[in-house]
Amino acid sequence: MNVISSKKIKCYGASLLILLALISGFILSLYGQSEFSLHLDDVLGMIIAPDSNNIKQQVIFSLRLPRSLAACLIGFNLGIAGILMQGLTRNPLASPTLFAINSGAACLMVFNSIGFGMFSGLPVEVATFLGALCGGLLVFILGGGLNSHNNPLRLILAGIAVNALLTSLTRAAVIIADDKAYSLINWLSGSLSEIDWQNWTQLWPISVVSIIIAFSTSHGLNLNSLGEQTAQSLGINVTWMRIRVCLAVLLLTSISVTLAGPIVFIGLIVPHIARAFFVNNHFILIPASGFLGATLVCWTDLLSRCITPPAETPVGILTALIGTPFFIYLVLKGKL
Amino acid sequence: MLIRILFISLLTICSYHVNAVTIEDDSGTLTLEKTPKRIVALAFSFVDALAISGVSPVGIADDGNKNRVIQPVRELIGDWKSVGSRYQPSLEAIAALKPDLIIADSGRHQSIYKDLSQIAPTLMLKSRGVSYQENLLAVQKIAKAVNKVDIVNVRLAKHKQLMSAIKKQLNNNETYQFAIISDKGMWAHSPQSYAGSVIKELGLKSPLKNKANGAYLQTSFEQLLNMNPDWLYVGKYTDITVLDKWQKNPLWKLLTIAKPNHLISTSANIWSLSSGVISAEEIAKELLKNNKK
Repeated sequence: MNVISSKKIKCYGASLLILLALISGFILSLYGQSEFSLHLDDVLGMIIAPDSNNIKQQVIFSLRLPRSLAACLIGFNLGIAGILMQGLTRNPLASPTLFAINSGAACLMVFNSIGFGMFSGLPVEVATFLGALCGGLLVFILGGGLNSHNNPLRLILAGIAVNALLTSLTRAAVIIADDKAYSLINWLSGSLSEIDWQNWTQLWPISVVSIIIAFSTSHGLNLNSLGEQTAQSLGINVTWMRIRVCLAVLLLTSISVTLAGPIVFIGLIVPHIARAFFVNNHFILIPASGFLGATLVCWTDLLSRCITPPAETPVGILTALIGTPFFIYLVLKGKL
Repeated sequence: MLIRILFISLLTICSYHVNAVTIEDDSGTLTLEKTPKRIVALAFSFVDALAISGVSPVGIADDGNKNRVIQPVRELIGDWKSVGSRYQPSLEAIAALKPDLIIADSGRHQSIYKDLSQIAPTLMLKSRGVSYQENLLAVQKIAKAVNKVDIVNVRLAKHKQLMSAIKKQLNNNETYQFAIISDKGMWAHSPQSYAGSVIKELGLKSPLKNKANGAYLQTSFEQLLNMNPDWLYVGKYTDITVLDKWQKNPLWKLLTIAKPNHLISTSANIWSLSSGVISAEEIAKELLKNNKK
């Protein structure tokens, strides 16, 4: 009884903490670190008494708000993509980064951007989706397919190999593009600085659809954690579930990469933190990973503006700085 | 007979020493025994310097695109062979041209300096991130290397005359900014960059409020709003750019460049890529065309 209640307390405490962190990060990112010396009053003013002639309110409304909303939603997407992948492969290392979904999307996005071959004519969302699909499939096949949970090392090696291949292709494209290189390199590090309302309207519909698909797989993923055969014997159509999970992961990752570049490691870190605080139930783990991802990206984006103002440090560099030690920690803790 | 041979040898050695020049460059000193005839230039600012010296390079790292060398420079030099990209020039293509001087960029080619030196004497000078004043010094070093000091001095005097004549006619009450734009963002060239230092040389003000931290500053719309330049010259790298997006934002009308003709589309090759004496004159002429007192 005591164990159950202490688990509940941990769970409620963590939920409250995450929500508080998310809300405070979101509000701070609306007015923090600006050359316009924005204050909380301006945010409140925008809500209570909107004034279209007030430049500070306009800056918050038309620049800060879409960026902060997108940071949260992109973090939410990446967090969910991570938990879905780990749930599907039953592999604690599975994440959009390891599965080369990020680098695949980035690679084709760069090809599209510099007008390389047949990729130049494609809409950018389609190009990144195809890249994400190719990267993920390649790692999945090389890593031992659906039996990858039996041999995580093989999956890691496949991930490293495919990531290296896609990164070299991206670099080659950047070298060919040369004069466009510095704008591409910046984007390749993951950056939210160019997001506006137009991008937001691109982002949210696809995200909402993918999140609904993701939630619909919760039951299947719970049973899948007991093993494929058990899941099947309990009446789960495993193939259909896999298709839905893969579709959700690809959509969630590719739309995020299209708008913000590859923000790495969120999908890897977040599910582990979520599992540490919550019960191993995907009905809870999926939203928990989403909110944790949102909090993490929101805060790192805010931090990225504070390191070398007025210049911005790409947010992907910060997530990598946090993610790499975490990855090492997982290895040392013997979680793999 | 022996005395005659000795005498001729001595004379030859002496003549070599008369022609030999020593130049201080970014890798130490370079001594050239004779005036080079076959020169390979690995950055556009060096091509500009050779053009005003009246020397045509046999090879240029032009990224495989001859149009990268700006028209006024192309008119002054003969045809050349491409030796690949500026970031990774082809050592084979350079060696095949049998050069007797390579002018390399200390900002880009330090790692291949030894390989280049094995092909031909290599003069290392700054091109990437070079400022206007730094480039003038580099031009004089190149002139010395190709033995055209007199020609270049006359040309530089003419250049300074032109620049100061334009400076007097420019409207120096307003602020001017040059930036490179693409679909991925905007990079403002600070007074430390080439275009920025030419603007400064012409006595024009920069809209940057704080001292710039670097030559190329990534600029978000919020930062542009805060910078609010009176005039913005932009070099486009893609057809669709972030400016198209920003112009739809209701805050755009608050910018001074929202006034008609205050946002000027210009050549990225002239303003950003070329970084030479001729390109500085082109920049100055363009400013004069739009911003006379």
